Amino acid sequence: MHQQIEVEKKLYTGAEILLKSLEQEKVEYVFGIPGGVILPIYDAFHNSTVKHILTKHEQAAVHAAEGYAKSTGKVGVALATSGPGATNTVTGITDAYYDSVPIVVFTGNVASSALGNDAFQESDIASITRSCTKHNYMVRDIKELASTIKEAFYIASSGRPGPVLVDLPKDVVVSSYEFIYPETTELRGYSPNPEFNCEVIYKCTEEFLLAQKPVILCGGGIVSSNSNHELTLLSEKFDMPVASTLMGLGGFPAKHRNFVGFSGMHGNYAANLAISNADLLVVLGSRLSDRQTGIVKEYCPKAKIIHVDIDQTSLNKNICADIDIQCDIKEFLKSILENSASLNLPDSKKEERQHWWKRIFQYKNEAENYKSNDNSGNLTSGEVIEKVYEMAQENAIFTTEVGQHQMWAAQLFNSNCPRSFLTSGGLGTMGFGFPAALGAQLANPDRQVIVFAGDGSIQMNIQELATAFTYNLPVKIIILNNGYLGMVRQWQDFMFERYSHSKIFSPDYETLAKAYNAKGFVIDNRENLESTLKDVLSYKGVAIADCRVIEEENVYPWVPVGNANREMLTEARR
Amino acid sequence: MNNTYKNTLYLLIENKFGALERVIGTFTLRGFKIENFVCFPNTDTSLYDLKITINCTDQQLEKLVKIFYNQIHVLEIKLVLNEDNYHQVALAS
Repeated sequence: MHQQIEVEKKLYTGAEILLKSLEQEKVEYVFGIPGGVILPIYDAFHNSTVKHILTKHEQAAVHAAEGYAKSTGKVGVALATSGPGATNTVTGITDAYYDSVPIVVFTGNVASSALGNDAFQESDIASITRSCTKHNYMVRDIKELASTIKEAFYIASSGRPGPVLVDLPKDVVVSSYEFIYPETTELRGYSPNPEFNCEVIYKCTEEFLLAQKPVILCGGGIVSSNSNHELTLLSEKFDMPVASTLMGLGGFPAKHRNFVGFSGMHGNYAANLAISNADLLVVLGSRLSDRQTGIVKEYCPKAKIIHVDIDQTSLNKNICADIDIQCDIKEFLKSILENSASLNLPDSKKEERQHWWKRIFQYKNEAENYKSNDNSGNLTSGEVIEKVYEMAQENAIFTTEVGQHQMWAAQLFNSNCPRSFLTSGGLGTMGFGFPAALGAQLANPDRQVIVFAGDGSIQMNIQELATAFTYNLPVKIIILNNGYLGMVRQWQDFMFERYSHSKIFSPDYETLAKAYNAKGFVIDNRENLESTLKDVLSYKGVAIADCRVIEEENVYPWVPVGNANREMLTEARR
Repeated sequence: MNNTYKNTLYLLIENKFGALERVIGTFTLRGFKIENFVCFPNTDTSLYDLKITINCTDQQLEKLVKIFYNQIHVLEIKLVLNEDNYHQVALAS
């Protein structure tokens, strides 16, 4: 039974109950846009400690909530009105679903009596989002409102995190009931914290000791379970190299000597080869998606695979593991470390590991040859990104949009700071990075927040410059402007040897920045790169750097679809 | 391994908003054709039973069971593999 705290026996409207519940959940910010049916909720903000952040599009509101959640580990909250407001949230919700981001999205709906009657601004948002939420609700009775909100926050943040949508018909928002917020919640069919058997700990420890060529693959689960420290200890204890998935970046200190880089379709050369040649792969908190594995039957063909994930649907989905363990990764790592406290690698193993490290260093050296070596004198995206990483503050948060710049940013990522790389991995949502940066900046006012964007993706949510100005969120936007939808152009070139609708127009970003009370900068050559970046990064307000980079540059390494990860293209094949 | 069989799943689910749609959506999203679908009330009126027959491989069935296990309103999953060959009982809660 629910243990309940009786707050007050006064009657409150549904709108007030919603905001009081958010206060109970210690929500700081709600990102959203008002509209017809949720006007009572907006009026209730007058008497609430919860702050509302007005975005310019509901998609951006959800991405901002994601940015807040990803950078803090807390639940992000978004609010949208019925109809178009609700449907505009779908991309953000799906993005959060694929990347396991804990957010709760509240949508208004028409009154219960009008549901299904094609009323003005009605949308069946619960059905629309059923396949892209961890769970969703339509509250039909105000008596269930507070307990539903409690459940929504619990589901979003427990187990494998994810988005939960709560749809609120107008009559629920305006009717009245007393406010009783449950202290705990219990769901019969939901057990988010599976326990594991001690036997697997012994088995895994043995495998770690036996392996000659082990590699740990750090997935997004390491980041969301805050297991950075434990993973570092494990890697050092057993002297194991660590590669990272796109979502895992930031889960292991990138400057650590054991870090081999980001792996996958556009992964670092050394990371892909290390995994391909490993005899033990320890996958921690990754669903091993197609972009990670390349052709499945060739994925680390000689390796034993240990796969640990809190979500059992991620285990044995694409790749069959030799040992699969469903559990909280932090608990798993703690148990391993505890169990092996008195163990040390035997000398014979240390020697074997030296050979393995030698090979990994060889891969790293070979990778140096594949760095972009454009002789035209024009600026490459890679050198801009590298310079930004070099000049940014130690604890800066980086967000990316989606495309070529995202892959370069992942390849060159070099921060040791957890939760410092926010990107859209599963859904690949252009338009994610900038609004996510706004959420991250709100949650981390003392940290520098930098957006890597392409000229294509920045234009998908560029209207949020108004939000950045309104709330004085001094994010720095680095636009790698190559005049193309770069990744599309790269694939068109590879597959069809000609382009189709991938050449794009950009506004004058310097003038655009001025129009939004931001400051624009142009970086068009190597000579002014460092000095202008210095001005950009030290500017007090919102700054946009329009970096005019080489137009037709491709991201390498590149594993074309249908290839094994070891068969990377390292340069254009024609 | 890749042979498909007629498999029957028995699900015990809570009679809550959207529960049935979530179950059915699991099949439609993955392109399964449902051979037979029966829904009947449980003695506990807050619950109901579903009997679903589909053609799928063992591997697909294993994935489906895991997905249903994750669905919050699904309380129990029973499987009848390869038609009458009662094979396995999985409890979801």
